[in-house]
Amino acid sequence: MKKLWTLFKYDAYKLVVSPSTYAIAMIFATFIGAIFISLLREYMVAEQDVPFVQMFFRYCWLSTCMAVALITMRSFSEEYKSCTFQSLFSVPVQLWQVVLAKFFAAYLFLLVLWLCTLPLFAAVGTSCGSALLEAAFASKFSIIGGLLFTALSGLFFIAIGIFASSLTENQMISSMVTFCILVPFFVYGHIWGNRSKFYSLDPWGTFSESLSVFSQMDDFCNGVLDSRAIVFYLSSCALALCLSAIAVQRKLN
Amino acid sequence: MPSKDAIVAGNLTKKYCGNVALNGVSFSIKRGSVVGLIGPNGAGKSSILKILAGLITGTSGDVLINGISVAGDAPHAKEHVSFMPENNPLPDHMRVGEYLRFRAELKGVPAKKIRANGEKVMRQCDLYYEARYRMIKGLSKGYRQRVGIADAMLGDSEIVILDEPTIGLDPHQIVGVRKIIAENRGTRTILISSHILSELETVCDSFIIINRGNIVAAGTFDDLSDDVCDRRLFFAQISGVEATIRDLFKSCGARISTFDNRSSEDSHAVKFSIADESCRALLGKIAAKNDLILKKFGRVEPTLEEIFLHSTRRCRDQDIGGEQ
Repeated sequence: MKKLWTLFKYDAYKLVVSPSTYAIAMIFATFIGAIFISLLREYMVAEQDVPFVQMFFRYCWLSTCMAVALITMRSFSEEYKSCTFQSLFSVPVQLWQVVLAKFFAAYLFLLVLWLCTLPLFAAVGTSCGSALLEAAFASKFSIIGGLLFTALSGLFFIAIGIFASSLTENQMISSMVTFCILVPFFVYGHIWGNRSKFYSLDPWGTFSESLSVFSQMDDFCNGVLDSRAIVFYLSSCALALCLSAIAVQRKLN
Repeated sequence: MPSKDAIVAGNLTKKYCGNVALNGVSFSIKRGSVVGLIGPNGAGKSSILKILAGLITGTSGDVLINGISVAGDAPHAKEHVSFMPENNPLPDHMRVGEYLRFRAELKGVPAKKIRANGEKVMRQCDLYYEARYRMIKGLSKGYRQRVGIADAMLGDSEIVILDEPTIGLDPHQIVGVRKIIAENRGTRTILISSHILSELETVCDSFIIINRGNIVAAGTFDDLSDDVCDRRLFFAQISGVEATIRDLFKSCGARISTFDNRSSEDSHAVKFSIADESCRALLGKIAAKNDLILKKFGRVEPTLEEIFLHSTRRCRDQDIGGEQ
């Protein structure tokens, strides 16, 4: 555990001192801010069917994909390119320690990005002066549920990013691979979200529904902690990290 | 009781996509010795070092580090080894002191000793005053090499493996590296791979010469000069006609390596190699010739470079002969 902590500090420090980290944070904040403001305008005009928080988290999927791809692209790719992974593995550390350290560092950064959105909710929810918005922000639990889901699904998304990074020394390719894996995942969820239209096209029935990221998000925002979603994200995360470890081992040899 | 050998490699083979990099290599290295690993580019040196450091695994065979199998228990074996890879890749975003602290933590140096240990190696490598707080990104090649050497010397690893440690260092720094190695002689087993043969000749107790994935010679300098060079090297200063001297040497099977006819007006300095049994005959023929006067004669100790060239050339000749 001590070595895992040391490696985690190393990777977290690398993120903290890198200018690109702040650029990622800036891009993420811009996107999230834009989504938040545009939704606010809609909700100030008229009452909506879907609660504000639920709608907000639904619209954030593209920003999440981008943020994950950009945060994780350097994890292994940079080590490969600069050959520092050779030095890293020349000390008595285990492969899983290195993979987990990079995973946790990137995950922590994603969480920090998301936690930075909390003041937005707090500010608008308490001092907006609009009855419609106050109604939209009435349920604190939906915010907590939404953030919980983001934290849970973030485990899987970051693991995918780490896996993509373990495949190549080119950061650009790594981020594109992450994007190409995550975008279809969300798009599929979006299609399932409109299942009334597409049900006839989907032969998998309930299996597809359980994979729909948007329906899972809605459940969490409504206070339903679906164990299937928890098992799905945790096991997928573990699988992606195992694949990452295999890819790194192959690179070493 | 611990074995007298710190490293034992047995029948080590490594293949990369079918290409043989190491072909059943076996050797052992005594505890506390300083050993030079020499070979032409692509001979398999880096593969050996990486396998010893537990970075890669061999296709077959095994290495025992202090009796621990690298293939069977790499993390445990790595605890006994410090490795400085070729070109010494370092993370640019850290300061020298931070980096060495990070490495010390990973090497399992006790928390109380990290500071003292880091300062000690930084002083040894002339980093303490000039580079301790500097970012690695801004360091020159020489400084980066010194950071790598300091990293390798961190902790209590009994075995230190250095891949091209003196590349990019100025003569003062090379002397410094030599001093560090001398200080650790006897307490640590040091394996150095380098192309600077004169440097290795100075610091190493024994040598392993590798070519095309095979060990072509191994042993102390004296062993190698006896075993590898079946023909001894001699020096002679002879006065007489150049063509006569050349013909005479050729007739006795001597191979002239240098023929300097500018050493004085009427004499020539000749460096040549010849088999022991033919040497006596050559001297007899020179004495019998009235127009030749032998002014000086003596044996020349081969340099490591000559031994290296000889052994790798012999290996190549055997290959060509085998193919024909």
